[in-house]
Amino acid sequence: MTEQLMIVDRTGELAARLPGAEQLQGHHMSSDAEIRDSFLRAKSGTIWLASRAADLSALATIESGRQIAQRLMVLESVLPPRRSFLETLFRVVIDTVASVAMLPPAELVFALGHPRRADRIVAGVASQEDETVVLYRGNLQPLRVPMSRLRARSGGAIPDLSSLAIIDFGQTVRLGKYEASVDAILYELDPAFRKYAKANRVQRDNTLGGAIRRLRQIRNLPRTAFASVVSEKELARIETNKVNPRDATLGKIAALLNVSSSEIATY
Amino acid sequence: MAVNLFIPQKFSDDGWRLKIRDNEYVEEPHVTLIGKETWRISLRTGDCLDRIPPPAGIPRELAYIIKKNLSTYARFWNAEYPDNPA
Repeated sequence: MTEQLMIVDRTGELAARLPGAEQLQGHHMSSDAEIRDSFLRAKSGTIWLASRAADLSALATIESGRQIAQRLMVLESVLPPRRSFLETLFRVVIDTVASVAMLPPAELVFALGHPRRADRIVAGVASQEDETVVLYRGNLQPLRVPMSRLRARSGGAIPDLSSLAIIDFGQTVRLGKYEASVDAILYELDPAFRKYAKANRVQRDNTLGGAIRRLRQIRNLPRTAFASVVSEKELARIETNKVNPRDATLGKIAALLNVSSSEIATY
Repeated sequence: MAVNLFIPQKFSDDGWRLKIRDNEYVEEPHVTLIGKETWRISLRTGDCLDRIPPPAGIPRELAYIIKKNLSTYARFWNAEYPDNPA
């Protein structure tokens, strides 16, 4: 956890809105001067947790154009024009409007205080029109997940974008009856997490064959799906490192896996 | 639908869940024990697949129950992930 957490509570309502938040490690502020000063000195990536949007009115005197990728979560619904004001200061503004699925309060506090909070999901919004889910990590960084990345298996549950919930302390994303592991989502979409997860394995297989096998499994493809490029038997030999694929073959396998040849080894 | 595997009520009352989710980080076949942290437990060996969080964080009795029931869990896994059987 590298980013600093700023906790704003001018009216003492934080504990009522988010029990346990008063125990979070971070810079707790209650005066306008502190809030303004901290904003001006904060580094890029700093995250802010505010009990009420009105608590940030002190930032109105900050000159326009000062937006350095700080991110904000407000524990109430924030409507325009206040929302527009906050969006001139913060790169991301998350509030508790009904369309945002949030972790339950006790789990939210735990996720925000976690040493690897960026690996937890704290909130999310599903857009049926765009067939996309935007998930907010514990560092409030948004992660766009296209529906195409949430594959349903044959006969299995289908992701239902009308029913999004973040559960299990930010470790599971539920869409109707469909549940996706946050680790699986991050492994696929975030190269930095992929590197961490690979290093965290007890048994490591860092070979090209191992990476092809993992990626094929992530894509939920049987070996027969590659029949136009290599036989099932040949692919098994590649995945177990008994043979090395030629560049052209690797390129075709990569294309079927929807990645570039150079990207395969990162999986 | 995620498969919610049975664990004794005293553990589920404490917030523990044992699952095979619809979209898992698939290598190798495993069940996922979820509390405040997540442990992926191999269906082939019964060992944790990851170094962190440390396996010592799993209650000893629960770890014993999971290890004893691996073959049952493997049947659920194989039904969910037939191309990557345990």
